[in-house]
Amino acid sequence: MTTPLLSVKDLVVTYGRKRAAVQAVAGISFDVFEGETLGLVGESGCGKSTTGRAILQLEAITSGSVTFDGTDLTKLDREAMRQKRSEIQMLFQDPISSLNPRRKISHIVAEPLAIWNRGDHASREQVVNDILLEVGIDPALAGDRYPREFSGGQCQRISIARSLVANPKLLVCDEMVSALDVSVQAQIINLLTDLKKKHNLTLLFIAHDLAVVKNVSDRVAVMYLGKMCEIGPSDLLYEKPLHPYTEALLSAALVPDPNVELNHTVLQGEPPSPLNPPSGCRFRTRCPKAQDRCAAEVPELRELAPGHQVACHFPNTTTHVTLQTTEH
Amino acid sequence: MSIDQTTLPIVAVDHLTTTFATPRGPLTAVNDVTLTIQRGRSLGVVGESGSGKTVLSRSIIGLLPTFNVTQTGSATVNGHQVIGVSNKQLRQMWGSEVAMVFQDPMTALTPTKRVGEQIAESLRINLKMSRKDAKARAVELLRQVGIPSPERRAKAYPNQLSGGMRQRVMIAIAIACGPKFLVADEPTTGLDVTVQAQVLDLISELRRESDLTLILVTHDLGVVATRTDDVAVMYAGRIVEQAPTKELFANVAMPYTKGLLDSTPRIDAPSHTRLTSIEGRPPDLVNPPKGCAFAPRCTMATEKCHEERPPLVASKLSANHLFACWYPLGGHAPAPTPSEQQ
Amino acid sequence: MTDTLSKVVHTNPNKASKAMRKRERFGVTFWIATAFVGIVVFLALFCQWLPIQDPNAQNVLTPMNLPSWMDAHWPIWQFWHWHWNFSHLFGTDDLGRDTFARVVYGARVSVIVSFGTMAIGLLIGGSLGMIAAYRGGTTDLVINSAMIVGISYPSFIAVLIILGMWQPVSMVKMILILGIFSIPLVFILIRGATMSYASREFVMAARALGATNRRILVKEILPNVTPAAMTVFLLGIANIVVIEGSLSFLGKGIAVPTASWGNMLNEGAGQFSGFYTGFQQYELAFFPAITIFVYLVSLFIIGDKLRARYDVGAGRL
Repeated sequence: MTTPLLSVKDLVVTYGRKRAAVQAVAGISFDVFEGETLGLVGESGCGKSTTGRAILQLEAITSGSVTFDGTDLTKLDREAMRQKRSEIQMLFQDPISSLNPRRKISHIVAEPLAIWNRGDHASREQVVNDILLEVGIDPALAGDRYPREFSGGQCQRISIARSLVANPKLLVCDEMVSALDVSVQAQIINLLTDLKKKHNLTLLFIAHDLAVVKNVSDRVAVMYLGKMCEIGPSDLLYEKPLHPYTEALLSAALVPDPNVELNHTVLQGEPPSPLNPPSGCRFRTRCPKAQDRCAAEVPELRELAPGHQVACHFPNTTTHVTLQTTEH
Repeated sequence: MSIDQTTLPIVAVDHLTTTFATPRGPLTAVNDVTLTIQRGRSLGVVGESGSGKTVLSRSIIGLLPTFNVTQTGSATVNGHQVIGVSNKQLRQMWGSEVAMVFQDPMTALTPTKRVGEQIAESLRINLKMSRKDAKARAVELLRQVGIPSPERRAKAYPNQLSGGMRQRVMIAIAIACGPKFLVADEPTTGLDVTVQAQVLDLISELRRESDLTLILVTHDLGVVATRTDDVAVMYAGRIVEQAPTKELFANVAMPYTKGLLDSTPRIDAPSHTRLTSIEGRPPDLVNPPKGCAFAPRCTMATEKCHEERPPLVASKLSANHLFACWYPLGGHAPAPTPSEQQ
Repeated sequence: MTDTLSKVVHTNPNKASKAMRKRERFGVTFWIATAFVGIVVFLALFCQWLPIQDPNAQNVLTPMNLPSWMDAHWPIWQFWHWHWNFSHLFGTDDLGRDTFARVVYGARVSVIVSFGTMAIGLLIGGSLGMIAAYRGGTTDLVINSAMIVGISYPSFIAVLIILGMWQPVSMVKMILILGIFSIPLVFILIRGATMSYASREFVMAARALGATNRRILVKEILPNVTPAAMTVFLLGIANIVVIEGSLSFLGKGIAVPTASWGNMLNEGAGQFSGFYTGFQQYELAFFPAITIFVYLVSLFIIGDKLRARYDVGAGRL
């Protein structure tokens, strides 16, 4: 087994203090291997965006470790972390506010070079022009303009260009296509796929749209209320989900085909408040299979098949084709 | 369900055009739209941002501002004209005959009033109920839309409720006075997928109970495919394709609709399926291109497409299926007019 | 497999933006206002080297004269009776001093005091505001609380008392004191302006790129806060002109006989009239008053137009 590029272990991120403390991320562990795309999916409040920001150390981590390329980022001091920053980049949901409205596009894209003092004026200009062409923006037309003159899709392209100039190894995409129209979304997804191949990137793709995540990812991780439910290869996970939450999530997703029967196990009720999460398995209040053991014991993430982990006391093992119980 | 031919449609829109005056010039957001909706049917209006679908939904019930807006054509709801009538006449319709569910419940609900009070307000104004009756009915409605412990929740403020519950409250306000026609403008965008399922199920159930007519405006093809009877696809302010839902998805006529379908990632497709994207961007509505509005982005466009705008015609394969294209897909072709049939 | 990388998407960066910019031109009023303020500031700063009379040169022979280009026997609108004599553009005051020169030297006081005060306010208050808003947390809490106390303090009375004790009053002293008392308000305004930008994603992106906090403040936040700062500066100047004028009017500001707009208004507040061939006593206040008025209105026009132009939301087309 190769060493993963990114390894997150028992990550906990807390907001607020004392009585009003909320564990947005309540202890999750996962790996991202070099060259793959790991999709991170879950509903609002599950902590996926917080996880993304915590990996980049943009959020204060309460406990746990984030090991990137052999170095534990949580142990670095501020200046050492700053030196490492260009290797992990992030793309955000709102394309317009991801760019400084008062700076020209060419300056925005050249910013990483300016920060790290790479190259001189001429070579920087060359790099910027090349990268803008790569993302599909004409530098001659766009370079001297301001972000407000561009559409959402174009702004996302510019953000991508800016991230690529920093020459990262890992790219964290935090709902980056969620605010785009369907046709623009497809353009950006295709662009991302091509650029990933060209620049040897590794992607952590955070989103709530299940179809988009499946399309983009090699493996998918599902989160619920700050905990990891299931991690597995995308095709397998979507076809034969082991965790009841994953199953419910997938069945609620809509396919653009009127002939597909609406056969969903509609999850009743609302997600519980993160201020006071249920004991044991956090999903048990809405789970159709919940039993006493679920309230008493927190299920651990264990590997039921090669590459397929699940955190549940009663996973859908009967639907899984190859099964290797590794407990006891 | 057989359609009584003598029944008038609940909604009849005829050559409706809405133009906004902007600093850059007049912007035609809705351009010559004609459609009818029969009682109890649901129409899905699909389009991307800038297609005019929200403006259309508001034009139909007269919710647009009068300043800097010109409207021509006609739109009748249950026989009452909506275009060009005074606010007083419109107010008689709003709430009791037609209601709207908005996209963002946080901004659509008054943040400083309790939700029970917001529902009761509509009841008192439109149905002239007493305070006590309105309060009781509000709790009833909250129960009907599936909010647990409604007596307690009625006293809550909108920011104390989750997104799904706020949307249910909006639906409760909408159906409070028993309207016959409901306009839902992206009611589930931004909600989690499980909550979306609940809210859409609720709307379907309410429709069945009171035989509501529904317009569902959305950009999500999955929602349209599963929850609507008819679909109208909008692009650049015009309807470019319209058909019963099953018909449209089975046999797409417009390259734009096909493009939308192809660029939507599907959960039942294998991972890493290459999406065929539509290149380019929607046209500028202040200076729309001559000819077909989609021609600059269409892979099959010819000279004719750039010069002449194709009219919306019925297909010879199915009289209910309308499209606006010179070279439609799927074997569609304009139905011959009676004079041609001679 | 089509290579999307080779297909360059049309940018079409809103060709209409040029048209929009044309529509958003500042307009004639703005430029007139700017011209007036520019003239006042120029005269105020360079009056020592310009051919203007000595504002303190008294001449008992020519008190309370009408402006030299007017002829007292004819109504003012009959411009064919005007003289081509600019020795006393605004006439003279009761001691024979040239009013125009006094107005210009008064402008000098007002301009220097107001600019100096706002410079201190923005440099200290503005920087603190940006830092407090960007850092948040304890830093913000501490500085903000201090500033809230500062702004609740009855500053005008405090200034009166301090100036009363710290005699004689000079421009430098006024700048220092007024500057310190203007810091809290500038802090609060700039902090507010910064807060709306500090939480935006582009700041987070800059951090993710490895920019130092200093770089982020200067390169990312400052350009966005500058329009707000400009408005604060202009409106602040107008405010200080009024305050300085009030202080001088009350006799607590720049000492007489130095010309200052407030002083001149004070002198004009007298009631008596004598047998003069031109003004009454209270008409002495006319020229400084009208200058103050037009100056302030111009400042407000400029401040307002700039605010309207630059107070754009992030996504505005």
